[in-house]
Amino acid sequence: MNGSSRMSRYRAEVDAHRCVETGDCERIAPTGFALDPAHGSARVLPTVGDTPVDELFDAANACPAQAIRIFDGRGNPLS
Amino acid sequence: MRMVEPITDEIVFADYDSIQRAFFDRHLSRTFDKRTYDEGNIRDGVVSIMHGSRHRSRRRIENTQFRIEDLRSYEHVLFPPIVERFVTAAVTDGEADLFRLGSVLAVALAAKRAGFDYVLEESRDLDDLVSYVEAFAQISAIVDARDPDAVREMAKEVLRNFKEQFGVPSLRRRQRLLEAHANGEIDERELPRDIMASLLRHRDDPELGLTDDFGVIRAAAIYLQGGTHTSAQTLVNTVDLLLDAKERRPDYWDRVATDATFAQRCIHETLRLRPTTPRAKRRAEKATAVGDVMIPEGAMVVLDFHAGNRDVNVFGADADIFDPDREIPAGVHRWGLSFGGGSHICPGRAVAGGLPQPSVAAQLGDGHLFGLVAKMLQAIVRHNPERHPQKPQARDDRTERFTRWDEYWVIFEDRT
Repeated sequence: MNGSSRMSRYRAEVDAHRCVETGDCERIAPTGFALDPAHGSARVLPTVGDTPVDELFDAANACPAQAIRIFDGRGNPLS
Repeated sequence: MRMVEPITDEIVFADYDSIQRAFFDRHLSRTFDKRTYDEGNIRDGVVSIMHGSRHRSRRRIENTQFRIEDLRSYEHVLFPPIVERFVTAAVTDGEADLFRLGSVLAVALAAKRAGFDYVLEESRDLDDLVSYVEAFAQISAIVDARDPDAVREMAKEVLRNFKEQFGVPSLRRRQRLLEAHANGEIDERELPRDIMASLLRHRDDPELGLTDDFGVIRAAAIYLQGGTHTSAQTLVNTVDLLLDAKERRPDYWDRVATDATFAQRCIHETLRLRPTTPRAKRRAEKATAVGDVMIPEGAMVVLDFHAGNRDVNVFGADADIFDPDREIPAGVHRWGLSFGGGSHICPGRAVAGGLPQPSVAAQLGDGHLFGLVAKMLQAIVRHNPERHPQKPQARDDRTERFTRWDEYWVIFEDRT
């Protein structure tokens, strides 16, 4: 894992209205996302910055509800 | 842990939980038979049988064409007039091959998304695209073909013709537009938004492995096929299951016609019971374990979706019954395992099947997508189709994918 592939260049969002709580994101990127039963959706974790960016993209691609978006440092959507 | 020696090099998983675990095992690859998918096969070098970093790089590019905003435009703006046009024509004729009709409806959008140019008013264009998709479906399923050598021979000719008729002209037009954009002659908004244009914009990236024009055409063509064939098969299977259930549940018919939420549930229930790919395969690139089953390096792993989707521990004792209203456990999809999962989940799942419904249907927001197949289904069911008494409803028996149809003729009782 090198510094350039870290989350610091990117931002992740979970659309709580769209999330259907399969937990796939948590399984793929456990330091980036976790299910939050209290809110009825997945959420972005404070440790997301330690998550390899490949894992974040995999989680976004694998989300069955397409509820995860990854943005670059300028706010452009990448997923 | 129990060791399982692969018998005839295959380990079969047939329960829901094991298949779910297998989806997320990074050592189980879809790059399992290079020879089968080599030159002359539409899947040679396409994203769905890649693994690891190249797969990830390609999906980053190709997935951008499946963003919610684009899907909303497909479902709300582009698709309704296409459905209206072709369903009205079929109803006026009084009869239709539902598989062909579903294919025409689906290919009109799939070609647009993949990046193959056609003229909507030129019905021969769509007919030709549908014929190519039918051939591609046989080529893609070569691993399950009853006569793979015949498929291989057919593939070479079909791919050559497709390349000439649609592939190269579409590719050249995009290259010209991209060049004009690079020279500042046209605006970004004038560029096509499709898979082929996206791949061409990034083809200099060696990580994508797009070394020649034909590779770009094949990479886009797989989306033409994926976006058409499965949708049309699912449409036919849904109508077939609804007709089977008509006596038992006459209320289903009206509910489909008037309630998009229920129509979408019918599509998902059909995908569960009749996955268009009933069994998927993976190869263990390294020794790994799925649950308590050890898998040696090189073993072939079969994921039996058809059985897993009927797992009574997940879907209940009546898992074999078509029941769109069934209660589903939290975290389980109504479509079961049929779209795959993990990094290889079907990228077009939301186009065809819409977004998963929240557990409480009332939570559906304005942004919900019902999926194109549910929209097709509603348009067709409103005209009361029945099985054609003189023309066939025939399964496609050219592969071991037993849920597929070759033709499915219906008559429309309501021609208005």
